[in-house]
Amino acid sequence: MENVLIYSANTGIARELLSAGRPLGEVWALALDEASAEELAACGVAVLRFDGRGVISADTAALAQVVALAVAHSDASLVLLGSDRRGKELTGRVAAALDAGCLTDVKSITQDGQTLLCTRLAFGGATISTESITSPVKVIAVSPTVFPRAEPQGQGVISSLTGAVDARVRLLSERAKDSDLVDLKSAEVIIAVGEGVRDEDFEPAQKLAQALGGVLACSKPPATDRGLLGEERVIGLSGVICKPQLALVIGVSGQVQFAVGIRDAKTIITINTNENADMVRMSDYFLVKDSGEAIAELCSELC
Amino acid sequence: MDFNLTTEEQLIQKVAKEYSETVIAPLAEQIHATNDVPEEVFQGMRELGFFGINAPEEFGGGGGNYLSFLLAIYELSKSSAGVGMIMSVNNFCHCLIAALGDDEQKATYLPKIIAGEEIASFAFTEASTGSDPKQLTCLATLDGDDYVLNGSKRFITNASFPGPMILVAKEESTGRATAFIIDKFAEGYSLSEPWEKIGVHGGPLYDVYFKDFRVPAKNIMGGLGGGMLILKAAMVYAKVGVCGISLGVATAAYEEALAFAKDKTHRGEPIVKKFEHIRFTLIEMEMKLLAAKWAVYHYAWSLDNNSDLFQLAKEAAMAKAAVTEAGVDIVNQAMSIIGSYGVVTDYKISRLWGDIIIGPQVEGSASTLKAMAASILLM
Amino acid sequence: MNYVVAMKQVPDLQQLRIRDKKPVLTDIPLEFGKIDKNALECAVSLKEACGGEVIIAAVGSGELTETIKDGLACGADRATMIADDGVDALQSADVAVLLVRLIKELDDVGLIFFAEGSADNYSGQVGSRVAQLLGYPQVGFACDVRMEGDRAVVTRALEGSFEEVEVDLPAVVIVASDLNKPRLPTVIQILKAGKKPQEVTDLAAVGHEASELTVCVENLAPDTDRKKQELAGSTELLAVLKENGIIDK
Repeated sequence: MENVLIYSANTGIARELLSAGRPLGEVWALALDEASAEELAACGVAVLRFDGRGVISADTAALAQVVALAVAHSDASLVLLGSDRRGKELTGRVAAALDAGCLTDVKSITQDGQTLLCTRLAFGGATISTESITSPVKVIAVSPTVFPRAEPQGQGVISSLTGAVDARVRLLSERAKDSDLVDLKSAEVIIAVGEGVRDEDFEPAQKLAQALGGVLACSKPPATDRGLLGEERVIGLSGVICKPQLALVIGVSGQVQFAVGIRDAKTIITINTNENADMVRMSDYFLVKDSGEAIAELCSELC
Repeated sequence: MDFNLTTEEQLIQKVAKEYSETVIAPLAEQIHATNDVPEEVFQGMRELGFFGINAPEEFGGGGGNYLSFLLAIYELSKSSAGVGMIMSVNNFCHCLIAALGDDEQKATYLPKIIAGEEIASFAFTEASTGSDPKQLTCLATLDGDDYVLNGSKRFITNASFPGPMILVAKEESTGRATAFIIDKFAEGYSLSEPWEKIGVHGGPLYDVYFKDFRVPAKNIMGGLGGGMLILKAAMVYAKVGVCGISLGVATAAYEEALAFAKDKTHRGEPIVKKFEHIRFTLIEMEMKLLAAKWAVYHYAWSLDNNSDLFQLAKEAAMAKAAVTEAGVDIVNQAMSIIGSYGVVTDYKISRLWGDIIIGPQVEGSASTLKAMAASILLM
Repeated sequence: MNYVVAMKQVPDLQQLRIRDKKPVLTDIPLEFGKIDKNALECAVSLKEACGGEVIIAAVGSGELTETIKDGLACGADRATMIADDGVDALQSADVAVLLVRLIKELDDVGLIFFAEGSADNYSGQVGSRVAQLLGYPQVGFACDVRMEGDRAVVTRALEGSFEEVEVDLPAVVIVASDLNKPRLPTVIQILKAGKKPQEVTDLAAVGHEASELTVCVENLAPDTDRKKQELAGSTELLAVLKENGIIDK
């Protein structure tokens, strides 16, 4: 059994890392503030609470120093970070600090004897690469939502972690992105619209999404080129990788940049005028129909 | 023999392709409908240096080779043959002036057309002759230090853009064809309405009228009575652009046909998979494109590496005839794959068909060129 | 003050083919990835505003000396490179070490730019590794960069928010895609690129030993065994939604 250190500035992700780490060894969770420490301790994990001042999550250099301190303290040989933007950026720095190999955007971890086999996308999403780290210390950044969040259970011990850490950046300001709090990552039902959907059909599509209890999303062009939806609703390589129960994909050709974001859905239904679209090949069900007509018909039944 | 493009040639082709796809293609239908290329297209071409790719650095050009120019005009023409045509004529005019103009003519006229701030024209064709200098009626009469031009020219590209025009007229005293560099829109210059062509919209053709139009005698290029040399040189330099345009249009047609054959189904299966004859047709098209491409690439190479004007003219004539004829075959085959959808204007192939059919008929009809090449056969 | 842009040559993925589920890379031309171009554009814009030089630092196979011309044509002043076919066998950790060696030879470096990830592997670790090895502060997912004397103000784009951060120089900036619109090189810039200074060395000269911290077991195109069942119309689609518990029966 190895010692596993988990850390994410986002406690939701940290709890996913706890689920990921438990089968792999004895887990220690690093927290930089009281609230996070308590939330994690409530999930039954031992928490290292860093007491140093002035380490902000905008300061990747400082964070890496803290993680290194935590690794030394816990004698961890495996570090699990989140592969959200903060975590992914931190990964390379921590790996260099620990002389370790690292893998990011990891989609699965499988134990194979002493080896941890990790999968991740490669070649722009065209392939799935299975890799393992061979250095004594390993750093793995796991994609959000791959593992479930650990539930509260028991009470872990919170210990103090101290050390001198230099702040390397100063935070001047922060602001939230203009969005209506769209959460594609955890959506169970997603209605994704693409270039094949006309401008005037976007509102009916939104109504349809609501009627199905789902979230409206899109491929990149309707957001970036046509400005019809916010960038936070983009699915794919330059957007969000989703794993809904059901994806209803309308007027999307299904090129790999989009496909990687939706192909993990449990059930995919496609509506497209072109029966040879890549999206059709990736679907469980498909309907060859004009997108506007289809949306209108479904709406008249459901909305 | 290295068939690879150099890194520079590849990069130039990449930039032209990006520009063609992101700026020109979205405007292609508009260019076709209005017979007019928007100023923003020219501005972008100027900024990227497309008007002077193979022009001398001394005059603001890129100093690149003919192949680089060919690759660029090919890419731009895939989106609009009209844009290609404007670029092609301007290009061979700067090649002519750079090769055969005197120092003053070069200094006066090259910088602006290489920069694309002015666009050049070449005027030989008249109502009754497109290729025979002995039948010219446009007359140049000496009057002091000037020549006075009277007559008209037909089907002239870029006639509506300010800039120089290389005009071949009959000089009165010698009775021989003579080339003059004139400034368009100087007094005595006027235009017809543009001709309605069946394709290559955006590159309109005009009749040009000269009424007591004065041009200084020092603007004679290639010497008094030296029109034949200018015409031969024009043959050599001009055809590479036309080949690039035809190759671009034919390639675009091939891509349309391939995409269509992959999309259209017959009883659930794409026709490209279902029918061997569709695949055969596509391969035949590819074979013609392959042959045409290397013929043109070699012609461009010859322009950079060989200098016998007669042999270059023969190669130019053969390449142009071969490529434009192959282009028509390729687009016709594309039509046969696309079928009835091809004849409605909603589909891009209808525009490409109109563009390609013009190829063998203009800039030296295929027959004329074959005759010309044949005359050099025994030289 | 000079700017360094670390760039990686990658295969043109548009030409990637999959045969028997394996990616086929033979004869695919190499190019710089789009986000590398975003990083270069950022550095060149800063140089045009504030002065200094933009130097490309790159580690790649022998073809790098040709690929580099694309970067030099887009506004970089010179390049320092390790161009050696042996690089293809190296991993990210090695590349980071080699880049550090190249960068340490340069004078008056204020900012070092990286793309958030390379187009082929997108693991996003090299920039952070280099920052750690150099001991410089770093700011990642930059969507805006401003110079203020001996400091830089960088805005980071995170999933749900923006952070405006101030950092002392020298620093590493890792740029997000969509940071800017990289300029197209002009014909003249392309034809002059080959004449800009290039310092080239190979692996033997630097005496590097490969580290091999990770191993790839397989890299295959995923299976797509979806049902691909055609629906006759909206009514059938509704039935599927009911079956899957999305709408009430």
